[in-house]
Amino acid sequence: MTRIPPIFVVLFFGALAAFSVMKVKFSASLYEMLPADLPEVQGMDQLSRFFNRDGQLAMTVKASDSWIADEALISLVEKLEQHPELFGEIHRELGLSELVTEGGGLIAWLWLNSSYVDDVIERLKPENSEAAVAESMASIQSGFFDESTVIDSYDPLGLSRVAEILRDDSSDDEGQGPDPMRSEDGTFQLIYVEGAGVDFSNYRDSAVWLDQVRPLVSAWREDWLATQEEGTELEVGLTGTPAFMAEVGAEMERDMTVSVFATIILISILFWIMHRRTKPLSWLVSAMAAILAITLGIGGLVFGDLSVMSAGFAAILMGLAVDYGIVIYREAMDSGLDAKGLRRSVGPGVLWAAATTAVVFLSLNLSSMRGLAEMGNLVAMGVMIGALVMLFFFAPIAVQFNSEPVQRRGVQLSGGGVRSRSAGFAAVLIPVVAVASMLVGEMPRLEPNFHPFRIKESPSMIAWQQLQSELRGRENSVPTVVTANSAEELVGRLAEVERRMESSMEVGLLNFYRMPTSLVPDPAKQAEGWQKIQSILGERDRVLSEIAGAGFSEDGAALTQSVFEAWEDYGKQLGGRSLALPTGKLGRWSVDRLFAEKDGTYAALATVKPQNPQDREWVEAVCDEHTAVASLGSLGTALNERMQRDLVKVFLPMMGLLTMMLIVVFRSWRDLLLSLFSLMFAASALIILTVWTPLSWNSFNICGLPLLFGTGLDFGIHMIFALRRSDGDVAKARAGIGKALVFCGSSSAIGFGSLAMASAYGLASLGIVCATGILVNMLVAVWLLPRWYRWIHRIPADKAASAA
Amino acid sequence: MGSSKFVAAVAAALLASGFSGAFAADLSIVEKWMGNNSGARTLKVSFSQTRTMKSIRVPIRQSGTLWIDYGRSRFRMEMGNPAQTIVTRQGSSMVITRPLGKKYEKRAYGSGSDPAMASLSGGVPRSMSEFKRKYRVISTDLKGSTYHIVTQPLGSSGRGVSTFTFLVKKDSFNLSGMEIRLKDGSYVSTTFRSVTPNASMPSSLFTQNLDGYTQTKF
Repeated sequence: MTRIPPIFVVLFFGALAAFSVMKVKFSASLYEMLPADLPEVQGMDQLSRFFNRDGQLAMTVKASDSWIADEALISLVEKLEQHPELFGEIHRELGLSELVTEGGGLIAWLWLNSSYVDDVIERLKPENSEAAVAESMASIQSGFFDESTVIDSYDPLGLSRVAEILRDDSSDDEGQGPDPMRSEDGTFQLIYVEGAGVDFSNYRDSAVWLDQVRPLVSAWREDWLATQEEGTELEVGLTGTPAFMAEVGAEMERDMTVSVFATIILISILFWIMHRRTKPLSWLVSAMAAILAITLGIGGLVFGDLSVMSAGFAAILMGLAVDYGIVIYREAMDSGLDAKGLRRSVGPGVLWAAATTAVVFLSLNLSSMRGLAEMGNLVAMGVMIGALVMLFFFAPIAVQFNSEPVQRRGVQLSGGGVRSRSAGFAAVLIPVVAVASMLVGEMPRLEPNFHPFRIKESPSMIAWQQLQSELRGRENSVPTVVTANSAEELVGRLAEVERRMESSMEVGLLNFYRMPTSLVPDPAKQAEGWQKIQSILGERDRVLSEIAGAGFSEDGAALTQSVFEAWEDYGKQLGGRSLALPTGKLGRWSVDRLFAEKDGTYAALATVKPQNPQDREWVEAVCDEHTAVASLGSLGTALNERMQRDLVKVFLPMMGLLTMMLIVVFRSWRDLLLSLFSLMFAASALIILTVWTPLSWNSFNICGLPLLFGTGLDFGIHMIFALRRSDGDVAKARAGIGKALVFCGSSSAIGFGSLAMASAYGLASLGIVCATGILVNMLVAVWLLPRWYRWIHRIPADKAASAA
Repeated sequence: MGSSKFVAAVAAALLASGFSGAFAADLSIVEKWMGNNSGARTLKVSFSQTRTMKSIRVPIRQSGTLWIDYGRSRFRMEMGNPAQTIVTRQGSSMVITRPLGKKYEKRAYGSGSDPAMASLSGGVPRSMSEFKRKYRVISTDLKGSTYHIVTQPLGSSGRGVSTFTFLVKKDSFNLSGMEIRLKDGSYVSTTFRSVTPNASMPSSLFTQNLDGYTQTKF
């Protein structure tokens, strides 16, 4: 078997692992890894389910003046329309003539769905309509020539004023509300583009589509700028669901690939430094690749799509699983046993170590973070698979390398380094500095406003943030989703929510709210409206002839005609069901933004602007079991609150349980005290680092505390037992278990540390904190704990001299 | 350099100069026109207007008078003879009356629908910086004895407007009219019949007696 060139072995298993990574499907829905019972998370889920369209991309342009933005957008739309294989409908701000052709359906629907249907019936009666048309003509002839004059010329009966009436009737005190397509100065504008040709629920397909769209838009921009005056500037942004999906999915794949590669390479270097052997290294790397492939295969079957946090599991797994291989390899070198003997010798230890590690990672299931729990489950499963692969695949190979001793190859640890006096001094100094740091600096606390699932340097997120800040009324506005089992129930719920929002305004929790009521189908109003509208449908020809008689052209009568046609259509819709939905592109687009029906659930989208977005008081005041807010501002606060609760729920019982275990394991108060002091010492070092360096705690990396606690105890137990066996001989303990701990600690730190490059802030911060903590634990266990052991056990100096 | 290369180079140079001439607007014309305006404290303009709208069968012709008091940010505009519509602005508020129907509307000046279409009422820009803030010059063409300064109004006032053309007399650099092309294809042409700078304007000109009028929304 060893005759196979190592490079082929590595390549074969590496390809197997790479294939497994490629087969992994990630879930790009970031909220899926957060606590499901938080209204903020429910809001994001419902916003995505009901109102995000998988294939709808927002294209934004930002220019130095509105004219350039106008012209650029017109040209961009023309370019996109030349590619029907990539783009379906394009939604853009409508001009006057388009409003006339598209607006009739929406206007007719708004009257039908409102309480003001009597107004329009009155307006269309024979005794009123002719005078209204004549007045419009007088206004157009002699009036102040402005935008309303032009609109009047297309709407001689003022039918479009329903929007004005509904606006006056609403709570919206920000006038006509934000323009959804354009900034106030017109320099920032956007269009919504429906993608075509691929399945947008799959982020890989979205990425392929976006890879075609990006160069197309980029080439158009270059071409268009070439036709403009020198110095003309134009920024183009792509954002929205397909862009987010593609970016998040690609980043997750990159995170997993980069972290796994980095971990394997760094562990290989570490192995070389410590053991100076290439053949066993190639088999060890192959075993790690096999573990990754098997875990990913089973993980995919068990868990389905993996979350962004799970992208980090592979590197952690590599860092942990390699330890079992090292234990087996060293035992094979030292004992000269065959594979069976080797399994009998180290098998129980490896399996127990894997089981305890798995239990620590499984404890993450007690956390409210679904993503973290999933990552814990994958690592737990992976370490068990890792133990089995190392015992049954790597062990038979490892025994073939036991012909030459390795004891003196590579790095050797001695009993020197830290003297007893220095260790004693550190034992006092570090805890004192930690307490002083908390008093002088700041007490350890969770970062406020931390959004662990945010992706670093995301172009689509940057474009989204620009969109929010440029469009009037969008900054700090929070989408609020109200759901119900029927349209009637939804109308009732919206009324309740409006009352709560009004109360919240009165007590200063909200600055503003906007209800979608006028664009939510109301079956009761529609039934009543249709009864009344039927009485005027027969007046159409008379009304149109009055318009023509007053001097309006066919264009001038088109809107009125389309309103009558739309009413007839809504009558047909109401014949078959309890509610009518608007016809026409504009009508559908307007209503779909705020109302949706999916799988028997009806949803409406309101907007609120909280006074203090980070507070949760307003969330509690607005939300109930049918109302949720997609608030990123309060989510950070909510996650921090939840994590603090989780820590008490998970960490304190775990500490108690492990202390009890330590009492049973050591049966010595000195060793128990030493073990607990080592943990306290490592914690002090971490506190100093978090106070005086950029290292900080947040709602995600705080979940690494149980892992650090577990590794700290583990390292301490190994070292204390080694010292017991050697009667406190520091050199002997370090040369044996010390070297193993250095390798295990370093490899685990490498596994976690490789996540520092992860694109998700949460995963990166978890990786950094865990890598730092593990290194601290390792340094304490290998270099300080032996000295403290000798001190607490009062081992005489002559033995100490021999140890040094 | 061979003769063919020389011809090609000259042709390229001519083409390039032709291109820049066609696209670059001659802002010196605007500067001269602005120079004429800068001294005016008030302006009285008699005009006639033709509204050729896509939605109306026949073009509408109207005449009117505009009084602008730059110093106090106020104006009065009368459309029709006798006046069918009177618009007065004092600072930020605007009153529109229809004497025939005894109706009036109060609006905040600058709110929503006042735009480039109504920019006559906002007064003609009096400085280059004001002009550049409000308009982007697309081209300047000489047609007969009149310069056509074709612009695009900037910001929200440009909505619905395709181009806004100022007509400036070649000899005097005085404004002689305006043309507005709307994006729906409609067209409004305003010709100034007389322009009187620094005419005296009593305060009563900018207020309207609303006794007997009913408030409405036109």
